[in-house]
Amino acid sequence: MSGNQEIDSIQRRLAALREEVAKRIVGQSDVVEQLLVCMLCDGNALIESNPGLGKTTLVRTIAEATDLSFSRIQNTPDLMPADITGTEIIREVGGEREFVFEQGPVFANLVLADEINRATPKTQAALLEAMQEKQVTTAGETRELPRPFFVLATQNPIDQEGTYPLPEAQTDRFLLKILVDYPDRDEEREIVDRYTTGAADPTVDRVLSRDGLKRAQQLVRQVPIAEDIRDHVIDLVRSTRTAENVEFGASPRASMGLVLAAKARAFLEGRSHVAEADVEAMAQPVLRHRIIVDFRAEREGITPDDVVSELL
Amino acid sequence: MSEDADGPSPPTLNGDSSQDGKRFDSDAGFVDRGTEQADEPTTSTAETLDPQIRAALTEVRREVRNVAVLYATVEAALVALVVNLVLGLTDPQSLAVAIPIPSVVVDALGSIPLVGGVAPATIPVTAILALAIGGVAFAVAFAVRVRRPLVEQFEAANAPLGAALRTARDAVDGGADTEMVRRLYDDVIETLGSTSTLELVETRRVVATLVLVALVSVASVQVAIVNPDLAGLLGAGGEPTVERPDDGGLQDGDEILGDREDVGEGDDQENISVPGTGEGSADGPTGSDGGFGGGGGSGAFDSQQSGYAGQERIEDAELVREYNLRIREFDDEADSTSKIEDTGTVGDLADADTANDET
Repeated sequence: MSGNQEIDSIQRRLAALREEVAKRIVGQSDVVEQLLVCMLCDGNALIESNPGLGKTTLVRTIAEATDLSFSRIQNTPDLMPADITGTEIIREVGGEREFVFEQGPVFANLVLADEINRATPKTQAALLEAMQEKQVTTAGETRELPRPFFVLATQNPIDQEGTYPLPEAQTDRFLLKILVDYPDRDEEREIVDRYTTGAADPTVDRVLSRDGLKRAQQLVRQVPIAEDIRDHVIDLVRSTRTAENVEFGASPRASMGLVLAAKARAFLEGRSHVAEADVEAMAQPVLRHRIIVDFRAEREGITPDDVVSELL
Repeated sequence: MSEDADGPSPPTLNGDSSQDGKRFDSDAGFVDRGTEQADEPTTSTAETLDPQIRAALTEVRREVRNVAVLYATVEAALVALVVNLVLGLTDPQSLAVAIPIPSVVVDALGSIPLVGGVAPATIPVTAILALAIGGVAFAVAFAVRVRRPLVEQFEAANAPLGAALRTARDAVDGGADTEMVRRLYDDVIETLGSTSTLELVETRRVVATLVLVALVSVASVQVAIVNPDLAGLLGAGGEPTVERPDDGGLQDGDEILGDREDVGEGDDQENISVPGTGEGSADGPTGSDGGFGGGGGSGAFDSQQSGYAGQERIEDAELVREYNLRIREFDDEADSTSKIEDTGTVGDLADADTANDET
C-alpha cells in the first residue's frame, strides 16, 4: 500500500468513525469533530455542559469504535490521588507477601473524569500530571500510561458550590475546551424515539484500531501549513494578550495547540493542507479557556468566545 | 492488532512504523514490507514529485507573467493613442516638427506592396512622444502587476486551489519531505492539470480596454483628416488658421470675363421665350434697351454664379416688382387665349404692356 493509499484509508476510517458515533449520538456534530480533533492531536479536552447531555455515552462510543480501553472517574471532594493513579497493596503470592501495584482508573486509553472541579486540588494535580506527562509516579516509581492516552474531563458550569475551580495553569494543559449545548427540538425528539421504544442500543462497530489512531496522529503532525496561515495563528494568539476586555491572554502553548488542531481538522476533512477555515473553526475551542476577560467585560456579559470572534 | 497496555513504541516520523520491517496498514494492521515491495512507491517518489511541483510553480509564474504582459500591452496602447490624440488636438507649435525617416527604412517600406504607396518619409515628433509615453506606461503597468508574488495572484484567481498551492510553495521552499507533503504535491499537480489560466484574465476588462483603443484610434484618424486646432479654438493661438472654402467674396466680373472687345453686329434672328416666372432677380441692365442675346465675344471664360454686389436701389426693386406683376398678368392672359410669341426682350414686353393698357 502506497503512502497516499494509506492516508486515504485512514481518512476514510475516520469518516466511518464519525458515522459510527452518529449511530448513538444524535446531532452534536461539532462536539464529535472537536473530540476527534483532540484525539488526533494526542491532547486532552475539557468538556463543559449541563448534566444529561450524553457526554459519557459519547466518550464511551468513541472508545468502542476505536478499540480503546475506557475508564470513568467520578470526582468527589474525598477522592484521593491514589484512587486515580493506583496504589501498592500487599498481596500474598506463594505463601509470601509482596507489594503489588494495583493500577488505578487512569491506566486506560480513554479516561473520562466527570466533574473534575469537584476533586480537591491535590487530586486534580495528580490527574493533570498524568495528562501532561503521560505517566504517574507512585511510591517512588514512575509508570508509563498506555498510549494513546486521553483525558476527557467534564465540569458543570452551573453548580459551583463545593467545587474547586481549576487554576489557569492547569486549564492551559487542556488542548480544547468543548461546550456541549442542548440539542434542538428535532434532535431531542430523535433522542427520545431512539432510546424509549424498547429497542436495543445501537451497536457500534470498531472501525479504527489503536495503531491506526496512532498512525493518524503521526500524519496529522506532518500536515503542511502555509506560512501565512501559521503567522495568522500566531498573530491571533498574540493579539489576545493586548485585546480589549482581556485581563490575561493565551500562552504560546495556545499557538502550538491551534496550529495542531487546525492540522487535525484538515486531516479529518480529508485534506492534505491547512485552510483558514480550519483555524477559524478551532480558534474558540483552543482559546476560550486560555483567555480571562476583565471584570468590566464579565459584568457586561462578554465571554471569551466573543473576544475570539472579534479578533478573528 | 491488540497490544499490551503500555502499547508499542511510537512509530517514527518518516512514515515508517517502529515495527521492524513492517509498516502500518489501517485495513490489515502491520504488514510485512517484503510482501508489498512490488507496488509500493519507493523514496524516488519524493525525488520525482519535488521537481514536478517546482516545474508546476514555474509554469504558474510564467502564465501569470504572460497575463501581465497582455494587460500591460493593451493599456500601453491605449495610453499611447490617447496621448497622440491629445497632441493632435492641441497641436503644440513646439512639437510641430517632423523627423525624416532614414532612407533605408523608407526604401524598405516603399518596396512593400500596398504599403509602399503610402509609406511616409517623415514621422511627427508627436507620434514619437506618444510611443515613448506608451512604452513607459507598459513598463509601469507590467511592474505593478508582477510586484505582487505571481503564485499569489494565481491563487487569488483560483480560490479552491489557493491554500493548497500556497502551502505547497512554502513546503517546497522549506524543503519539507513527508508523506503528507508528498500527498499535497500529488493533489496540487492533479488540480493544476484541470485548472485554466484563463481565470487570471479579466475578460470584461480586456474587452473594455480594447473597445477604448478602437474608439481612440478612430478619433485619431478623424483628427488627422479634419486637423482641427483645439488650441486655436480655445483662444490660445489667436485667430484660427483654418480657412473656409469659398470664403473670398464675390470676384470681379471683368476680371473673370477678360478685357472688353468689340464684336460685330449680329444678324442672326433668334426667337427666345422668356419663362413666366421670374427666376432670379438680377440687378442688371433690366431697364436698358439692350437684349441678352445677340452674340458674344470670342474669348472663353469660366462660369460663375451670379450675385449682388452693388448697393440696393429701392426704386429699381419697385420697378422689377412692377414688371414681374405685369409679366404674370400677361402670361395669364396669353394662356387663356393662345400662345403668344414673344419678341424676346424686356423692352418688347413693356411695349406689349403699353398696348394692353391702351386696349
